[in-house]
Amino acid sequence: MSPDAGHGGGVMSAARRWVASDLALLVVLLGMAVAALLVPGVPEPIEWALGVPFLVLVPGYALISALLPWSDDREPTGEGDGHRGGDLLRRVTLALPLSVIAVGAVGVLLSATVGIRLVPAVVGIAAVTVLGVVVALVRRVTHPPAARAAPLRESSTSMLRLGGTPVQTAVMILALVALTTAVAFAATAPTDQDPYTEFYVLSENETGDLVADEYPATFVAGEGHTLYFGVENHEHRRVTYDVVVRSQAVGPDGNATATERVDSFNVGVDAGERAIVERTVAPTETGEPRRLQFLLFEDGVPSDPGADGADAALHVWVDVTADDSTSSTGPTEGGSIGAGSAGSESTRTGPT
Amino acid sequence: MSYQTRLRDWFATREMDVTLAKLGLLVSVLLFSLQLLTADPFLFVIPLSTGSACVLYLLVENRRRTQFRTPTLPSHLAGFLPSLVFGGLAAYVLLVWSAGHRTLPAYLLAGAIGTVVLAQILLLDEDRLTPGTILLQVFALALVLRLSALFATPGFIGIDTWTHLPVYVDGIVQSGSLSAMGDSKYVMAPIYHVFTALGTLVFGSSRLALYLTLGLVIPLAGLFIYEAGTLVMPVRWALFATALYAFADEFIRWGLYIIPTSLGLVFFLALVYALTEILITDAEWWAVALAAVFSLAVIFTHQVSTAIMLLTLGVAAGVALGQDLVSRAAGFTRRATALAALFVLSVVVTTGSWMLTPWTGETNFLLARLSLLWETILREAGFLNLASEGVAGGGPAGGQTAVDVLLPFLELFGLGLLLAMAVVGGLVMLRWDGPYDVSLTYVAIGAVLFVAVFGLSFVGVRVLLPGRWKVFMYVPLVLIGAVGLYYVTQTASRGLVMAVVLLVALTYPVGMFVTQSATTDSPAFPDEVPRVAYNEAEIGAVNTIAAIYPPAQGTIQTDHPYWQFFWKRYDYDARGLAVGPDGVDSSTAVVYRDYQSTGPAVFYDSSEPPRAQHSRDVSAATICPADRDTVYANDQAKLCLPTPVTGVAS
Repeated sequence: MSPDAGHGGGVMSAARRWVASDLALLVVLLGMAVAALLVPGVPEPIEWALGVPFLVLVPGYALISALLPWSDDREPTGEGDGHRGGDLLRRVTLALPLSVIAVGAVGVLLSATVGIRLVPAVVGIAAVTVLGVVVALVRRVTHPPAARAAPLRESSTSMLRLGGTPVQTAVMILALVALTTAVAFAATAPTDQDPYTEFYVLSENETGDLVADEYPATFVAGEGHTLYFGVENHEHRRVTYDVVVRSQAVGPDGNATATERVDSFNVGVDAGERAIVERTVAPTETGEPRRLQFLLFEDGVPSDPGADGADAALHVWVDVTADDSTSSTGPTEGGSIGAGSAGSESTRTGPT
Repeated sequence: MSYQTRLRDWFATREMDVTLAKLGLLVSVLLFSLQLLTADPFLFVIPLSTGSACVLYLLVENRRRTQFRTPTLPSHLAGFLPSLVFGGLAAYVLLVWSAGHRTLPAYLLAGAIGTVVLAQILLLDEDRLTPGTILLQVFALALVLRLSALFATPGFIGIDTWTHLPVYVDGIVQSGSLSAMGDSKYVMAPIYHVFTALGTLVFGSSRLALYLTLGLVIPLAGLFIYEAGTLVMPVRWALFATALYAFADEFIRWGLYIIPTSLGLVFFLALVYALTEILITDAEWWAVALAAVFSLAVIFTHQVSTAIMLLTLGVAAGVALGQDLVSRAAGFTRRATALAALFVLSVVVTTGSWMLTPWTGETNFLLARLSLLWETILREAGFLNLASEGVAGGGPAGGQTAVDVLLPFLELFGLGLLLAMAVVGGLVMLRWDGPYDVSLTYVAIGAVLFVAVFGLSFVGVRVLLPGRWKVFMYVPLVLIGAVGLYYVTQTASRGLVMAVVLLVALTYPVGMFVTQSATTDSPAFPDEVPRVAYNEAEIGAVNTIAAIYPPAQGTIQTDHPYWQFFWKRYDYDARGLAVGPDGVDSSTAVVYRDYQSTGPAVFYDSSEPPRAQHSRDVSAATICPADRDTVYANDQAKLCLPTPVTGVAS
């Protein structure tokens, strides 16, 4: 392809008229995106709508415009099959990876200098774009008008024509509207994600953290150990949970031969919240081993609560002795789970 | 007479294409007979495809151009087909939304829409073929397919994304620096992470940033197939190649599982376009500059993609230099010089970059990889060493249903179709009237990548992750394949043309859309293929367990692929659960999830090397027996620990 390959004089004025329109549009888009991202209070959908081209189109388009200041309306090789498509599609296609490279380069530069933050990032991407636009403009005017890049010129955009009769075109536009509406609906309407509740039992380790491990292995009958019960509510509604603590003797077949109700309590947890409940668990029936069972109910405790009817069931094996000489008592002061910490209150709640 | 013309005539006068077709048929028969030695579905599908393609070529190669018109769609019907596509896509979106995930009916609907698109490309009258309308349909379908999966799936699809985003990208955003990636190999290949980090600043969420930026860029990069295609073939066939690629299972896979490989693919596609421009324009400087930029971008994005890029550049340079040498012309052409310079530049930059890339704290990435490759060749390479790359391929053995048996072949149907078209196209390109430099380069790249993907796999060399090369191999295959079908429509009988066109249009889209690669989020055959995505409760379990039973507490075992979630997201010493005759290893924590009882998750047995087994064949009581502590539970998962208490009844 020759950069100076021109068009006939009949299109000279049209070429002049269209020579910078794409770059003007680009600068307008850039200005709107910068304003949306830097001015506080702009609604998120608008930020996102402008943020997408700001990251994946605008800087790359400026760069490819600077690299290719001449037009390219080559016809296809081989037998004709209609118009190949215009310069605009090629530039937009090239702009996608070039934008990613430009934004990535800005990020690496920021990482090595002022740090990766929003304002420097927006300014950096905008600077690359403006530089590309300026170079593109300067280079375009060095070419004969008819040879200059003018991607929005009619011959370059002819591949975008829809074809078909007016009725067919109208039906297609209706179908496109239906598709857009369906996408918008699916994007904004909540989906039915399966609700669930998390339930866990924690102990405090040597460093004061609450962990699902290192439980006291031996209880002295009637003397308690502190355990922490975590309940995280993902049911999309507030739930008052009931927890029942039982101590069971278990036969060789795995079935309970005796059951002692040790404790029960309830805790209300808002949707999306977590509660950590501190309880002193003190079984009185001895046995080696005994199964300490923790049952969680979302809709009240049935008259004969069991693991099968519970919404969640946990258990920890312990020895319950009458003598405290073998007790491996753990620490009793409050510990931490994740970023939180156990305080003196028996129940703490917070976001999950 | 130019050298290219002489070479083309040399091929034609000696009927080299016919000889190669006969040779291909012979090799296909020999390969097919290897099934007596090993029952690998690739050894069924590949020779069947290549053999059929050779037979088809031999049937049509000596025919004159058809004197009749290729069948076309009636205009009153054709004009409404785009509306049918967009309306169908609207129904598809609502179908996925109502189910909460993609389902087999949704895949069948998408396949039908793809058929309508291909039918337009192949059967529209020339006057009615408008590239803009076709491309709009192709990429609307491509985007809807991918974005519906991305946004309908909680968390991320795939395995490595759980490291790349929550660990690396969010770490960069929080610290404002690339140092958040520590001694990861990506500190020397940071484009994916830096770009997504800046996107996170704009969108407020790394997941949203990834999906709204690279989630769009990756499928739209298929436009480079169109741009390259229009330089070497008529528009109709460039559109056909574009649709073949946009609908290809591996291309869909990397649009769902968006990691540096995906971005490396984008730059690779751009590079293939730039290479085509170099060959077409005899290396005008802007084309060379674009190729250099995209080559460097691949290097600074992803190491496996870099290896593929180097191979591609090397082949392109080798073909160009070889032609110059054979032609005995004085000096080298501009394009050969440019391609050689690009290759040398890429090798030098890659070597420098990999020497500086950290790798497991012992040595640099370059030496580690070369050492591993050498060891692999010495220790593992062997003819028909076809041990599976993992359990995901064909599923565990034992208790197989008819679907289990047929599924591996169904998986390969689209690839087989594509391969058959490419074989015909490759033979055509040896003597056709199109740009000869480009033809030879495409065929050479396609052949080398094919050997890299399947040849190395057949001898057991998988250290280069050949599974990730497939999507790169598809690039030359779709371009060559489009030429192949173009040739068939020009030379075959009307009946044969219609048979081939209908076969491709009716089966290729749906064949590709239902494969495991294209449906990792929600397999089309959910009883046979495990999903590599998780529901809210499964994700919640991992996050909460990481808080209450941190990685320092000990090893976690669970099914495949769930264990990789623990490993990738929180750096657990996690492993696939081994279930022996005596149950599970009683010394470590075990995570049970309902999917192990209802879905096709995978456990291993205690043999050496471990063999995969269906998780459904193992009872929940075996995974989390009553004699262990159960310390965490939600509606879908629970955590079981060994108890220090003795004498517990099992």
